[in-house]
Amino acid sequence: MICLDHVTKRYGQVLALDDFSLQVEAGEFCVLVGPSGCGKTTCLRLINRLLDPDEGCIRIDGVDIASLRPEHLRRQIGYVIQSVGLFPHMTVAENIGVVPRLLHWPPDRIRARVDELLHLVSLEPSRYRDAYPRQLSGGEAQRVGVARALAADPAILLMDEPFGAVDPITRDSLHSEFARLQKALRKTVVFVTHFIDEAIRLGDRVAVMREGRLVQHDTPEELLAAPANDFVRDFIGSDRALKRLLRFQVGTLMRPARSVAATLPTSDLLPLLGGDAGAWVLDEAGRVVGWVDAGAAAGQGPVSAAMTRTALADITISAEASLNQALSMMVGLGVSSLPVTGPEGKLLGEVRLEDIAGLPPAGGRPQ
Amino acid sequence: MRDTPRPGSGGHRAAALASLVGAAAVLLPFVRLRPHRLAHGEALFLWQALPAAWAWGLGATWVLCAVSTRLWRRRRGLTALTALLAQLLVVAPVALAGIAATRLSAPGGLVRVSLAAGAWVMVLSGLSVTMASRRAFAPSAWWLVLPCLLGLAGLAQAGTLDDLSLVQEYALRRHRFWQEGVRHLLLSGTAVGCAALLGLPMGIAAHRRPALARLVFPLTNAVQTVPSLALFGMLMAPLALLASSAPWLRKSGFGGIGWAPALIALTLYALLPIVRNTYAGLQMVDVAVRQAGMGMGMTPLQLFCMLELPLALPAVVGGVRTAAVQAVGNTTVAALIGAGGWGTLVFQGLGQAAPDLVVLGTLPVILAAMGVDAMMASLQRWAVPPGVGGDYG
Repeated sequence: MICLDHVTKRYGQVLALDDFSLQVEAGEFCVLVGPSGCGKTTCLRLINRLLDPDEGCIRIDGVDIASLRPEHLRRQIGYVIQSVGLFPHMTVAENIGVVPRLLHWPPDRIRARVDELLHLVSLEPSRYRDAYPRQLSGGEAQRVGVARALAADPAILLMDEPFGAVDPITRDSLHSEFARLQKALRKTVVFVTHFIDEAIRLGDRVAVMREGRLVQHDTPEELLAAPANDFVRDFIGSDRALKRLLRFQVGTLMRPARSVAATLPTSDLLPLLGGDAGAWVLDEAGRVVGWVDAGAAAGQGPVSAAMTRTALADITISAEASLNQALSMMVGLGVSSLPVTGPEGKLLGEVRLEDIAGLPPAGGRPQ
Repeated sequence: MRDTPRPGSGGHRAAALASLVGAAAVLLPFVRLRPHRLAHGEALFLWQALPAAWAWGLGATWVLCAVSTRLWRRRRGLTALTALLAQLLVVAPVALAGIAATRLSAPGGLVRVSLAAGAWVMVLSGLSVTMASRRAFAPSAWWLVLPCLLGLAGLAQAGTLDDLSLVQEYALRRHRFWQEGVRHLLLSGTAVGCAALLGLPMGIAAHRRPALARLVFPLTNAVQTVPSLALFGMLMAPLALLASSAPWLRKSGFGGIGWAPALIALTLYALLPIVRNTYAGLQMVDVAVRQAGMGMGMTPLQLFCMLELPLALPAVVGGVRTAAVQAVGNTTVAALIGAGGWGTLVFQGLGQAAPDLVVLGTLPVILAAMGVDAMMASLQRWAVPPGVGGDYG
């Protein structure tokens, strides 16, 4: 548990934190969000003593951190920054092994831990272990950054806009992956961002900050349903209902999908549809290659000749994606359902517009 | 994962240009013939000193060398071919001058034959092409210049060059030449060593404390603007005073002239590149790297040893490289205040108006500077940590 108790921090005349109090429970994912200069990064850097408060105190599990040696404290806390800051002269494995080395782990244990962490962040150890940072893409580098922060299995993870410098598509996949990771690891995370979408998508609770003060500290649902004041309302924006969809994964609304093989004769189609308007068409490997309407049943030849053909990536969505993404794709494509696919493009089910529209109104918690 | 780009292999234009300059030099006076050591004498063209066929042959080889640079882009291995050809063109003019000298001078006579503009320009052009093609082949392939060194050594050994005025000057003071050489290298080496011992901590301190940087750089910059001769002069009086007040200092050769002012002045000169590069190397370390290191719980010492020093090392070595090359050159001037070194020969030659003696003192300085530069360049390549880019020729 992290507890900031009436903390004030000044830079010269500028008040960065003004009598600021915040409590983050063990295992909780807390997002600090607010406009630039609101003090969120200062807050983070106070927790690992890169800065010391002018007034007030910070306790971790009841211990005042001012009584600890900063270096020792920092080795117990994972730290991820936006610019990643991988050490360019060290391999990926050496980068990840820095804190364990500072803690004098035996080399065998470090090696095993590095491979375990690379697996955890979905990087193939044999391929990435000996690579140097400049050989990595932005997304890969940030995964290594996260692995490095997790190296000594710290209970607390501090993340300063970690996904701010990667492109939107990579950020989306990093979000899904990090959400999955956090579900398994249950770290106490303090996460700084200025993107409200990111805060709502990832946080168990969101702390909205403004000019060094805490404006609202609530679950994303509460924040969306009952903004404390106009500042929070403006910061969230007018599309609160859409933002709320960020909280739900496609998997939660997925329903079984009707599918037919591409090789099926069109004449056999109608009985298989069983009254549905259409079905997804799959190739031999079980991948979606298009869809077919009941109208096509009148035609000749196999289904593959009558179907609407489409590229896989254009219309499918993963079960970990948010409903917000699913809705956006549906509107963009002008369709009312999307096939949900797993690894290698296999069809898992489908998600429908009517189900998204039928979600219980704000106030209910996501599954 | 992204693949790292291979270092480019440009430089073929520079090599082609140098080859054409070499070809044009065939038309310049090749040797100078003087009735005795101190006379001005007359310049002879290559076709006057030797059969004209030699001149055409040499010119044609230069053109061939220029043409060979056009083939580099087809195959990298052809750069080695150009390098060999260019070295042949370094050795050949020297050999031809030697042969011409033997033909022109009677045994036991006072006649002197020295290399004239054409021969020198060809040697320099040949060296430029050699260096450019060696770099295009591989920056670390220093062994590619061995044929040239072996060729020149072979010529000297075979006695082909014995009738050249330069070699005659050398033969007269063989012992002295090497003695001054050792002194020269010792003096410049010690100065660079002292400057490194002083400069590294100064650079680190300037990086740590910006206030110190504002103090250190104006000082080192100011030293650099003082002409070397003036600095030697400025040191003479105070050191002489110091030596006269401390007899034990005087006994060890310390005084207003000699090695002491030379060493101090050379050290001061070598300081700026070392301090500045150390400082710049440390400043160049990415803020994010430092921040991450600190956030992970490195102590200031660990931060320095694990991150800052390895990342700044190539720049630090680069500073020592600049300082060393400079020191080898500057030491020549130190001969004027009695510190010895190859400069002694240069100033003797100037005093006697004997140009070949000046060359005898200058050539080894140039060669030593080039040798030191090559050595430091390989040290610099070694200092670059794996995973970090950098091309140090």
